[in-house]
Amino acid sequence: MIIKQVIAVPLVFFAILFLFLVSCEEDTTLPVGEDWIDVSTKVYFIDTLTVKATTFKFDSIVVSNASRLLIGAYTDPVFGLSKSKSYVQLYNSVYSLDNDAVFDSIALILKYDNYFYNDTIPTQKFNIYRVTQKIEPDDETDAFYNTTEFTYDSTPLASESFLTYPKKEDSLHILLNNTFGKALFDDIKDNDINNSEEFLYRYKGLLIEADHSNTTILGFSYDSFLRIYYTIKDETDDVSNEFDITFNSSNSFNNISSDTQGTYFESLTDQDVYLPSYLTNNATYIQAGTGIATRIEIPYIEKINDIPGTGTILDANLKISIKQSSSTEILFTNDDLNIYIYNKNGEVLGSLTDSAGETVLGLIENESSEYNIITYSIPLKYFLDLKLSTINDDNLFLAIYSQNYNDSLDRYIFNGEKASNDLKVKLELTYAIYDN
Amino acid sequence: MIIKYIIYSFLLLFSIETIAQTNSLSSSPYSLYGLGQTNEISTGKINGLGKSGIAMPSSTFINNSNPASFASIPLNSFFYDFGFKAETNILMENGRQNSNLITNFSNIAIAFPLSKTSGFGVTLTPFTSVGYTLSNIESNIEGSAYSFYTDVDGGGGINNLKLNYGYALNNKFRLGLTGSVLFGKITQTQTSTIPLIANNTVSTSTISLYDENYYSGFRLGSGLQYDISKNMTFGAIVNLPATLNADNDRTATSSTETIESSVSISNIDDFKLPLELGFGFQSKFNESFSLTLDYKKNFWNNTNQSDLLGTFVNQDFFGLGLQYSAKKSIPKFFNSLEYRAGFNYDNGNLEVNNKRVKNQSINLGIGIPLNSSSNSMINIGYSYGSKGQITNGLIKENYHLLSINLSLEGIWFQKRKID
Repeated sequence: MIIKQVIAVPLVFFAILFLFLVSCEEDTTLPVGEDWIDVSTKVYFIDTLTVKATTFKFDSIVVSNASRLLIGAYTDPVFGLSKSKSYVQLYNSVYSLDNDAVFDSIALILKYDNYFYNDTIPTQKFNIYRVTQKIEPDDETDAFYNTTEFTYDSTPLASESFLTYPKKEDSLHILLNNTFGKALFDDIKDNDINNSEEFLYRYKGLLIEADHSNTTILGFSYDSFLRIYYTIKDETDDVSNEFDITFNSSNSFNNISSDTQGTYFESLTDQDVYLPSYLTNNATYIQAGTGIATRIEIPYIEKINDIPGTGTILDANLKISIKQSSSTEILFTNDDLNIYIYNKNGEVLGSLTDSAGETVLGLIENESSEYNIITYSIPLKYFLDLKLSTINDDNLFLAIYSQNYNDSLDRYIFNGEKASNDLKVKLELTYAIYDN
Repeated sequence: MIIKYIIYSFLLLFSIETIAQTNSLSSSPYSLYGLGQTNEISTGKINGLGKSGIAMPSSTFINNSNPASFASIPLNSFFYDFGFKAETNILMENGRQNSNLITNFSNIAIAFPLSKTSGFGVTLTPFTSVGYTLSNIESNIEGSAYSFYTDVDGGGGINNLKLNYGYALNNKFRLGLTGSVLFGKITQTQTSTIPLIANNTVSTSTISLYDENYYSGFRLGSGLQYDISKNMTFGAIVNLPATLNADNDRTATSSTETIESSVSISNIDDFKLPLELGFGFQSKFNESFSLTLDYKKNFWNNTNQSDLLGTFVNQDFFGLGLQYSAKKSIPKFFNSLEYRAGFNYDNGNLEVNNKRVKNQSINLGIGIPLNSSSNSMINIGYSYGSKGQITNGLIKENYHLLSINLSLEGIWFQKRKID
C-alpha cells in the first residue's frame, strides 16, 4: 500500500500540474455591466487658456546661405516700404583674353528664379553700383546679416528701367557702363589680372539695388553672371565672343529692410519691444527678411495643474489664422511656418520639436478659399511639457516666423486674441487626469 | 513516511499558490464588486449537497466547512483533495446576452490525524476571484462634443490558506480551530482610447492604468460538532471579523510619452470581513440516506462598507443536501456509488438600488469510489444557478458549474494481515 502511494502521489501531482497548464479561460468581450465602473481616466478639452500674441522684430537675422538673390522694393500698405538689395561678389577660374580681342560691351545677366512678390506689371528700375569694400562675413560670427552694408561708389554703373516677366523670360539683361567694362576687359587682356586674388583686389563686387518707386520684389538665381562681349578681328571676318564672370554665392547676400515710418512697426526699435495685438488692429505680423515676427506666450499654462489629480497633456495645438483677405495671389503666404523656442533674452534656443525631437512646423489645418480662411495648427505638446517642467517657465516663448526668411519678403497677418471666436489665436489642449 | 508525504504535499501547495494568485477564476461582472466573487466550490462531497457541511465529519473526506470535523479523521488515514471546476455563465441585461467559459483549479487540501482524537489539515482555496472584461465604456471629453472609450479588464483574486485543527473531547463532541491566511492580488487594467484631432486627421492616444491591489490578512474561526445520536449531528461555526490590509500600486502609461512609470498610492481602503456564524445539521436515516442542512449568516452591515455599485448588507445562506448510497454489502459498481442532490440559496451581500443580488443553485453530484479498500473517490458535482435579476439595472447571470474533486485517502501504518 505504502509503495503504491509513493508512486501515486507524484503521479497525481503531475496530473494536476498538467491540468493547470491546460486550464483555460475563454473570455469574450462583455457588453454588459458597463455602468458599474468608474473610469479613472478623465479627459478634458481646454481651449480657454490665455494666449498672448505680440509682434516684435529681431534686431538682425542671419542671411548667409540664402537660396536666391532678392532684389526689389514695394510699398506695402501695412509694412511700409519694403526693399531688398543684393551685394554680389564675382570671381572666375580663368582670367585670359585673346590679344586680338576688342571690347564691345558689358552686361549683367540676372536669371529669374520664379520668385516674385507683389505687382510685376509696372516698370521697375534697378541701379547697379560698384562696391568699394571687400565683401566678407562678420569676423566673429562668420555670417552675413540682413543689416550688413558695404561701401560702394555712388555713381551707378547702370540705372536700368525695364518691364519684368519673371515667368515668361529666363533672365534680365542690364548693360553696364562701358568705361567700367573696358577697364575690366583691359585688365584681363593685359594680364594685369591673372587670378581671383588679383581680380578681387580691383573688383570687390556689385551692389544691385531697386529704386524705391518699384512695385515688386524679384528673385534671381546665383547662376547669374557678368558678361563681357568682345570681337576678335579676323582677316576675313569678325568673330563675336563672350567672357563670363560668375557670382560667388558664399560672398553674396541680400540686405533686406523696410521703412517702418508711419507703420505699426515704427516703435520696434529694439528686440525687447512687443506690440500687443490689440494695439495693432487685433493682429500680429510676420515679415520675412526684415525680422518682424509673431511671439506667442502661454503665460498661465501651470493653471492646468489646478485640475485635481495627476495628469498629462495628451495633445496641444495652437490655432492661428490668417487675417481674412490679407493673403492674396501676389502677396501670398506659404503652407508652412517655422516655429522657434526662444527665451527672455531673445536668444533662439532652437526650433520647436515634438517629444521625439523632430522639428515641427505650423501646418495649414483649415483652408477655405470661399471664406478666405487659412488656419495653421502648431503642435505645442512638447513646448508645454517643457514649460511645465522648467522652473523659470515664464522665460520660454515661441516665435512664429516665415520660412525663406533670408531670401524673401513674405508677409503674414494673423488674427490676434481679440478676434472673433472661431478666428482668434487659441490654444487647444487635450489633458488627461489619470490619478485622482 | 509522514515527512515525505508532508513534503510532497507542501511542495504541491506552494507550487499552486503562485498559480492560484495569478489566474482569474471568475468571469462575472459581479466580480467587480468588493474583492470579487466569493468562491463557492468546496472540497469533497459538499459541492453536490447544496454546499452544506457544517455538521459533517471528516471521516471519509476533507470537510473544509467546519474545523471540528478534522477530529474525526481516522487514525491511519491521510486525505488529499484536489478540485477543479468548469463554469460557463450566461449574462443577460435588457436584451443583451453574453457567455463565458472558465476552467480552473478550485482547491487543494491535505488532512491527517494527529492522534486518535485530533486531526489537522491545510486547505488552499480561492477565497474570492475576479474576472471581467468591459469594453467600449463611453466617457465624454469634458469641454467637447467628443467621447473617449475605455476597456476595463479585471483579474486576480484572494487566496485562502486555511489551517484547520479539530479535537474530540469525547466520541460525541468535537471542537475545532481554524486560521485563515488570506492573501492575493486583484488587478484592473483600464485602457482609454482618446481621439485627438489635429490638422484634419484624427489620431488616437491611449492611456493605460494598471492597478494592482494587494490584500493580506488573517482570520480566526472555530467550530464544534456534536453527535446528538448515532445518526444525528449538530454543528456550528464562527469566523471572526477580519481586516485585509490593502496596498495599491498603479502604473500609468501613455502612448504619447512615458508618464510616471509607477505611481504608488495607498488611497484604497482596507477590506473588512464580517463576523460569520453558521449552524448545521446532519441526519442519517434508513442506512442509505443522509440529509444535511446549513444556515450561515454574514454580518456585513457592521463592516459599514460600500462600493461604487452598492452597499454591503447582511447575508443569509441556506444549504440543503441529500445523499443516497446503496448498502455496501452488495458488491456491484452502481451500488458503490454515492448519489447527491442539493439546493442552496443566499440573498447576497450586495444591494444595488435596493435590490439584492441573490444567488441560488441546484446541485447534483455523484461520488465514484476509486477502490474498495479506501475512501478514495472522485466527486463530480453539477450546479445550475443564477445571480441577480434583469430589472433595476442589474445583470442576471445564469451559470452551469461542473466541479470535480479528487478526494483521495492514503492509509498509513496499517498492519498487513499476511505478515
